[in-house]
Amino acid sequence: MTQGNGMGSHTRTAGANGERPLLAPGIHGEAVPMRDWSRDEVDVCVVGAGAGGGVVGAKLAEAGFSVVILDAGPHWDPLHDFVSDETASHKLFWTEERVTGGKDPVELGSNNSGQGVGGSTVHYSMIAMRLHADDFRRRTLEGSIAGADLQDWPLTYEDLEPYYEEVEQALQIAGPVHYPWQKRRRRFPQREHQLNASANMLVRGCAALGIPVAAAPVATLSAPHRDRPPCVYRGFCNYGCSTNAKSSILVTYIPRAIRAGAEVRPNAMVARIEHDATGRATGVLHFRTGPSSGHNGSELFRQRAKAIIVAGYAIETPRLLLNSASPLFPNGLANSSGMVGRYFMIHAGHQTFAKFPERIGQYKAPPGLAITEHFNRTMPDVDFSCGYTVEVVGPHVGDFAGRMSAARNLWGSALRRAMFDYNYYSGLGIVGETLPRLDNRVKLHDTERDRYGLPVAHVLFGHHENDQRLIDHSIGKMTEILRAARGEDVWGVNRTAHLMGTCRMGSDPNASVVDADGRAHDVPNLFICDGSVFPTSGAVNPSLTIQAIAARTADRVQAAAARGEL
Amino acid sequence: MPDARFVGLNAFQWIAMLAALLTLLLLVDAWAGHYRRGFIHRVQYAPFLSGGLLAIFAIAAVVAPRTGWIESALRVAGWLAVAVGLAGFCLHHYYGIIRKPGGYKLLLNYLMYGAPPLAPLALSAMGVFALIAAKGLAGGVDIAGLPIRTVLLALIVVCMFGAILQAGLLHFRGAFNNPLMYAPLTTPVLTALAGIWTMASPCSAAAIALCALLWLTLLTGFVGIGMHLRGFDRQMAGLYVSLFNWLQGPPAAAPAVFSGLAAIGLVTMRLL
Repeated sequence: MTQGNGMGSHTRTAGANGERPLLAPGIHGEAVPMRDWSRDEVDVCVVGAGAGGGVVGAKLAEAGFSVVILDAGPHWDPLHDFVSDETASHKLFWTEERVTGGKDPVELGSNNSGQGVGGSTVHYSMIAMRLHADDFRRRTLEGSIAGADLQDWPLTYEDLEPYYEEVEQALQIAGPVHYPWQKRRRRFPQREHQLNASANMLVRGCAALGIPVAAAPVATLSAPHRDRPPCVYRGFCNYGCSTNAKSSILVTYIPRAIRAGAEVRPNAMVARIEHDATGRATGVLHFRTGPSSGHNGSELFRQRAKAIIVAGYAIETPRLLLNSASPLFPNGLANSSGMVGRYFMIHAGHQTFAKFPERIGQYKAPPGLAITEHFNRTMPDVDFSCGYTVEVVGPHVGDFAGRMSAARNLWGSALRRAMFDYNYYSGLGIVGETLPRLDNRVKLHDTERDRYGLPVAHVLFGHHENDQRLIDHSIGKMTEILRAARGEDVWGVNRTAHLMGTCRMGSDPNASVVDADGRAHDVPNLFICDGSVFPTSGAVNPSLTIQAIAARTADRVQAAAARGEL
Repeated sequence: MPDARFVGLNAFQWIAMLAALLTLLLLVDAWAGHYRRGFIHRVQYAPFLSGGLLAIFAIAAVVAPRTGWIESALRVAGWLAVAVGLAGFCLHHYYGIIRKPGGYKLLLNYLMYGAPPLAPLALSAMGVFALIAAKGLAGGVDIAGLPIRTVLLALIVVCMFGAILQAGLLHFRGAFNNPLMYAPLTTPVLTALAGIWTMASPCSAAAIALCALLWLTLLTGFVGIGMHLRGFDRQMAGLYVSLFNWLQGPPAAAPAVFSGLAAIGLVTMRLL
């Protein structure tokens, strides 16, 4: 494959040959014409249209490659599909069956998953933070920790820095002029947002305790950008932004990909990756559903491709590789190391709430408008390694009722009475680094099958004792901050956020799945770019790093194609 | 009283009228800001009382010059505007920064999103222009020993820099998302510098340059109004929710400050 050679004789414009033209939803309610690559061998097939897949697909399409991006969920129309309703927005999550277990089972099917074009970026909290240079060399800094397997990344911060800048520009991240924890960095493309009452609470508490605090860098516009308006602080960011102020992949990279000639194929559940006798990937088999496709998911379709990029996030990516086992790859594709599915990580996400004398209205505006990374480091006087970031959270009334019910054992009229004070509560949450453990893994369930007959993912997770000490420390600090901000009646709820690991990147083919370019050690034309490649989790929201890695992967794919390796 | 007239009005009548018009425009933006906060303090009505009186008596002075009680009333309204503007500056600073969580630690955020720190001083400036107009209409030719022309030019330069600072800050907040947002940092800056040049070494070259730049600044202000209207059409739902976007969007009338100051400058240069 060479750059652009897929755009020649086998190109078919939408609607040619009397076929039904392909149309995709635009971001303003319009229909956008789109190429149809379903009968052609494309240069690149991307599995997953989220944070990783959207970026890599758009960049490669703009570079002249023929690209198909498949996603298991619908192609959302922001103006019609995103409703200001918590319950109705559950469709944005990956709610297909999965089995969770282990010592500390992870709750699945909500904030840590996404289904549909844009992936979880359509409902994420938009906090767009970079990892720090130290996060890329945790093994060097922390040494060996019993029961965990810390690894340095095969990348450095300097390798990723230009890509952080690239995606920050593309997403028009709005952040502070002086970010206290990354002083030597280029200014964010847009200015920080005004602070909502919850963010003011964090600022007040931190100021009283002498803890540095700042407006959070977030992926929602603070000023108009092209055809998108700035945020109006409705506060429905976690349920799909219907104003397009939120810089999700759905409204940023996906339109770019379509304009550049990519096909974005929704409701396409990839069942397996095919390969030839030499072990090179040749395409994917997928089910198609949904009214727009005219299929009911009962038959398999083949999409031929010269290179495959998997970006299905930390559960579906290893599941697909394991489901793609064959006589040549009996343990699953790209799994000669046995590392596919291993080192599954989450972020500790404990949340602590307090009641305030003044009205807060925690649901208003983006949920995480202020943060402190003061504890995002290995501190000298504590009994644990690594650290955590403290962020403002703003659950809506339904989510909050769930948390209050779970944490305070309230139900019925007692819960109803307590919820009358919803608007007087505000809370903090952490993004805490958890240590990678071999036994934390994603594997195929022995008996459970999904609606397509595919083995479902079986997710096993248990905290390392270091994680629990970190969480205990964070609870103490969050309580201090809330009290310093005049909060009373403090309570907390244990949660997790984000999924990482399971296809870790590394230099050693025996101990990792992909190399620094995201290229599988075992399959030369198979790439992975999503949260699954993280060797360690860091203690910041991972989306920007996933996007930066995807932007870099796109460049590495181009370089490999230019060398004739694909 | 100067002899030179334009459309039948002398320089000080023009200055009084322009001060009145600018005051009314400032009040439109002040209303948007104070209404948005729900007039939570009664003192937020003060600029409308003070500015309203200033506008009324300034226009009265235009219509009926050499009327003793009107000139006295204009002077009182002028001093009141100066005082209210200075008080507003202090209140904006106190409530907009000092009282906010973190205070000066989040100074830039509060400067960008809090009560606009320099806006009340614009009312003070209009008060000073009104006082100068009253003095001129009463036949005065100097202020504290300085020619009125020089005092006016100095005041215009100071006001111009204030407006540039405020516009620059808010356009920075908007990440200069349209290249025309750099306009307040170009022509008005040159105009202010030309004003200083004219005061420091009066010569025909400086005067010609200043007049040319004043005309450009006048135009810049009008273009700014148009761009601000377009700006709030770029907000969510645009003009369809015009009150909301009027309150949230770029201040529609604010660029008129540049036009108004430029107009006063032209009056000063041509009629005095």
